[in-house]
Amino acid sequence: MTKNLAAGLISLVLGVVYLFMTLRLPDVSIGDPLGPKLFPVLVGMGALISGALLVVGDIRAAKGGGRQRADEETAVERSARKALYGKIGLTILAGMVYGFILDTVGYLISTFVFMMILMCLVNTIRRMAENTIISLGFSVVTYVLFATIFQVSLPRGILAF
Amino acid sequence: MNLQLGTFSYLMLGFRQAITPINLVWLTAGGLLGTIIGMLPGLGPATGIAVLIPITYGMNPATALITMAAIYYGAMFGGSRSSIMLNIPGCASSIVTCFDGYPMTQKGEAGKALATSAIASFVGGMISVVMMIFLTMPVANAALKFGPAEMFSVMLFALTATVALSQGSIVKGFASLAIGFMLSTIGIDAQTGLQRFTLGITELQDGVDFLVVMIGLYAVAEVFRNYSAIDRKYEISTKSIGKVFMTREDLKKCLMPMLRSSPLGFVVGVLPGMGGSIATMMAYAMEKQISRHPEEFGKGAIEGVAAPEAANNAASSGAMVPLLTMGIPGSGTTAVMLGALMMLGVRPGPLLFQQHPEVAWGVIASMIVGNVILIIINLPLVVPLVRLLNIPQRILLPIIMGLAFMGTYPINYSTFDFFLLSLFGLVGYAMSRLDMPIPPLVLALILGSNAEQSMRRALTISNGNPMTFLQKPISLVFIILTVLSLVYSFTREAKAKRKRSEGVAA
Repeated sequence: MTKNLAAGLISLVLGVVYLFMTLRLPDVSIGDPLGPKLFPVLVGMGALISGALLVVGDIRAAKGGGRQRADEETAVERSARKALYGKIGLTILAGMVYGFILDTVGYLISTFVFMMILMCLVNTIRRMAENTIISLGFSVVTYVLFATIFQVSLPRGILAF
Repeated sequence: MNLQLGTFSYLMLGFRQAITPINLVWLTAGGLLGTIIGMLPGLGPATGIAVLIPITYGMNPATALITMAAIYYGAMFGGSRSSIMLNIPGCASSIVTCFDGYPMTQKGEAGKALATSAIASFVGGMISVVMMIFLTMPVANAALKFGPAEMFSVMLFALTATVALSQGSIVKGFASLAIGFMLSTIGIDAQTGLQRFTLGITELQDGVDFLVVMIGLYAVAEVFRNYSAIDRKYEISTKSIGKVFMTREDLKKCLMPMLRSSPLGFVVGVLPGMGGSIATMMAYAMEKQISRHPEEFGKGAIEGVAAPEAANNAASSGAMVPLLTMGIPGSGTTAVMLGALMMLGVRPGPLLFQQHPEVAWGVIASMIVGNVILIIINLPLVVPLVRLLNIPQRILLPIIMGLAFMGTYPINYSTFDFFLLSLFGLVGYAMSRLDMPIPPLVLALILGSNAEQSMRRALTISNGNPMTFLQKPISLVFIILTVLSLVYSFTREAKAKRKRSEGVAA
């Protein structure tokens, strides 16, 4: 699938779903009855038309043979792509864990854990000393800056001081 | 006469605001941070401001705006560092600086190139602030008279132009714009109290928080993109830089290019969707055209560094004009600034000049002070600053990611936002893989509810007659401009396509 086709399909599907949801919005009796639906209808149409144009353009390009064929992915590229997706997935997972523990164990510990995971992921497990120093430094420095200069209070959790 | 006197006294009011100790400290810090952000490849001004949003949480509006503006034009100073030293642009506005900056380094003139870029940035910044001083009052006064119909048409033009005038596929830009609008309609409708598109999720009743979306799209997605090049390392020897200075002869050579490129950059910066990268290309092309020795361009011509560097700084001041006077950002970077300001409860626009002139003029005056500070930072400190380019990506990326998450949390004190942040990190990554531009989405998201309310209010006033947008003269002008920018962009794309297919045939 080409980039144009993918972008077009996404826009098209989003437009259709969005329009469908707009038309299903309940009618309001107060204020202007058309109001809350008018803008979404226009926006949904916009997404639908843009998507359709992209898809049609892509199909026409394919028929005319003008479409550039994507080069076949080599084995090296495929493993690089898989490694990249793995890193992205693990980062998001780490973010979820961070969110899950932040309120209970507090900012300092949870941020340290989050940074540690990221550092191990990106900076590799071999450089453990570097990872620890940066993770610790990051959580302490940001905590102190927030508490003093920016006056934003962060959850202290189990480290109550 | 009266108007100029007014402007002058407002400017003095601004200076009083700009030189308070706290503002001076943040001005310097912002400029320095901006220089560093601009310098590091893969970290542009929009990402930089998105990541640094948390530092504004405890600030008063004037300080926050001064700091963010300093980061923005500081990045314009810094962007050329890696262009000159490594032939890798630090941000999109410094791509053109590579053309002659890097050849100068190869000739052993790195110090001269760095000095030229700093001085040209300073000149561009100063000239454009002066232009800004004279332009803001009339624009703000005019905008004050705008009714809902005019406001809607201006926003329509700004958003269309952002898609039409930027490079890349126009249809994809409109798709991105539509998605941004969709996101902006999520939540409770302000006029009727109707819940729209919340999918039953309580956290979405107040709408999607645009700051979280922006941090996701700019900071998280940026790190995801850079994950593929973790082992990239830049080796710089600072010994080879030499003396960081310009001779009198160099200055003479660069004077006219700087004086020509600054106003050009400013005008381009004011227009929505154009911004620094286009300003630098136009300035470079212009100088090459009128130069008596065009063959030297691309081989280390000093004018080839001075012109784009003056232009991109001038463009960054220009971009502040629509933001401050109308509350309409014309680029991703200014949209992020607007988002951060709205979080602090400040809405830039004509009313800002009327109700809080000390904030609006404080920023303008601070830009004069800031440019002076930045040239002081950038000339003698350039060597230690350039060393920062040696920070490996594998340490930088986790820190940016950490800043993105920790900066998101205090926005709503809700960990639901971490989910949104990750989601939009993925969305931003997917969009860049599909070559879909991100700025239209961000602009539509931040202006969407305003645009919708203006449109509905205008229609209510006119009893539902849509012709109202064409009957008001100012509104009509902007509708015509919208149509023209569309026609222009589609013909440009069609022409490019024809050229490409001819190239294939031949």
